[in-house]
Amino acid sequence: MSLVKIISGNVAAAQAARLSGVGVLSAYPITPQSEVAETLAKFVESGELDAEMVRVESEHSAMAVLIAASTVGARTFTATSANGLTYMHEMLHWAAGSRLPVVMAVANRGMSAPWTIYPDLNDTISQRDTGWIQFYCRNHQEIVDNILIAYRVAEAVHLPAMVCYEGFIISHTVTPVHLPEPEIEGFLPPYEPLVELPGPVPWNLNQVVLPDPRPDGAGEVCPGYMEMRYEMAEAMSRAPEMIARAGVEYREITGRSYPGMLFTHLMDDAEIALVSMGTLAQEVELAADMLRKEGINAGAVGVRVFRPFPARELAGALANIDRVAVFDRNISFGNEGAVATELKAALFDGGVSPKLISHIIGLGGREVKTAHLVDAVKEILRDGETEPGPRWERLSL
Amino acid sequence: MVTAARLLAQAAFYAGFKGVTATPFFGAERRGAPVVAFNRLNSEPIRTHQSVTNPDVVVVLEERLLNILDVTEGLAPEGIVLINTTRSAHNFNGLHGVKNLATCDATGICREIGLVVAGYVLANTTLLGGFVRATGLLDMKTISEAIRSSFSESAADLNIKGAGMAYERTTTSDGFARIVKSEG
Repeated sequence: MSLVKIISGNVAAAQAARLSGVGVLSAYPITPQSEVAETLAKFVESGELDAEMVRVESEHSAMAVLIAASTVGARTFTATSANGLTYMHEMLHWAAGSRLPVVMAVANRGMSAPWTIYPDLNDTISQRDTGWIQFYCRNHQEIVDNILIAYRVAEAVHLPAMVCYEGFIISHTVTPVHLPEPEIEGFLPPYEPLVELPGPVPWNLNQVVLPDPRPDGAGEVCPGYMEMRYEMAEAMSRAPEMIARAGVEYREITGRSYPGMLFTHLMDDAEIALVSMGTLAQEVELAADMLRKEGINAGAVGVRVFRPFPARELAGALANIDRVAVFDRNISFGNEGAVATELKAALFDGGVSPKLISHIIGLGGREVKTAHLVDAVKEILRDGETEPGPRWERLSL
Repeated sequence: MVTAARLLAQAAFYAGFKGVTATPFFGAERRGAPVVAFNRLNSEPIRTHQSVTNPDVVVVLEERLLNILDVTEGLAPEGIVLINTTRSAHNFNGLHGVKNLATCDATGICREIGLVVAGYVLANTTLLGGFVRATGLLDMKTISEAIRSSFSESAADLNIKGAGMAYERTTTSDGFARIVKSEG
């Protein structure tokens, strides 16, 4: 049996951390994430969560605390947004390079300047190359489910994972959420770090201090920097299989199905596909439904995991599609939206070449209605060939 | 307003709506600034995150906002407007052509029963009683349940009392139609 609570996305993230049995928490408050840290502090104070919450003066320190705690075998959790996340950036590389399965919730918020507290995905897209696994949530329920699954995957491949959800759109809205309690017990085996402390012999912690192959404290020759980078990349490439396997077990426990890296909707006979990530991955499904009612054979694909990037899966899902409309709530300046650019590379490798348009939409919390997506698709169908480069939607210039 | 929206979502869930959302919209982070919150109630789970622009019901907690903005903007043709005011519904005849007008002196009720904290009249939960009376969508039992789940026993008693009095004292315009369709 599971418990249904009417809660915000932020409380859902905190509840998931509690259900994961985290041992060490550290977070610095920032809008729109603050409620995650507040709720976790309440859980610790009330005794609902047996964890140590370390107070820090910055996000950089919060991650440093978790790196230390994770190194010595604690399951760790934090949450942040935008400027807090980018302040943490150096430590994100450090956590991943040290192969520590820290899990973090990110309430996505647009980067300043100009100042905004409202959402887009540019904060987490900017962390793309840190070596963190990235999950993107379509709704409140997926925050709970993805955090639990993220621990399972992160601890199996020894890489950190962030679970991203748009600020305000999910973080502050309230809706029914299933908490898999108590049936989730046992889903996460005890966390075992790569190195057990104290070990029988002296050991170099965080072998990233080794620039080249040389003997470690035990006298064994360790691989150098480049070999460690290769091992990280290999670990990342094992994540999809772990995500799929964890999804199967999660379905057996909760009844909710997460088949893998993508969500697909009405794709079997679709001629045009709408592709997006985050809340818009849910909105494109509704847009496809609306387009079908108007006689347009549309389908929708949602990117659930952005790192590792589901290149093969996307090329497979879009193999028989004539046109693709990608809706990115982010912009890679000097190029197009991040999902669009990576998708183009994936299609090239997959030998698939539909006409693909990158739509930039909803930056800084600009309202996106399902009808806007429908209109954008109808516009490209009407215009036929379009200029290369992204199409900016709903600008008021 | 944000708390009222959350309690309304909760009460609606208890009443059997499978899809409920409460979406607060914060502007400036200061007391006294205008705040808007939206609810969606549906028999099926809600999949959209888009904002509500064509409401079936508008609840106005602060009457003075009527002078600043058009609260009926986008209101569904048979939509209901509920206003927290000392004046009865017929005083608002002709408010942007709205047919279904309801009023309730939630602020007065709160003063009467002492639902005031640090000088602030907490009319939000009380006005939920007016919402039930005006729309017919929920009942006072589920509203009470939602309030009980969020407040200590004594605070809950007072808030439930206020909502109950608001239910009794809500007035409606001539020809008021109570049944609302759920929003698509």
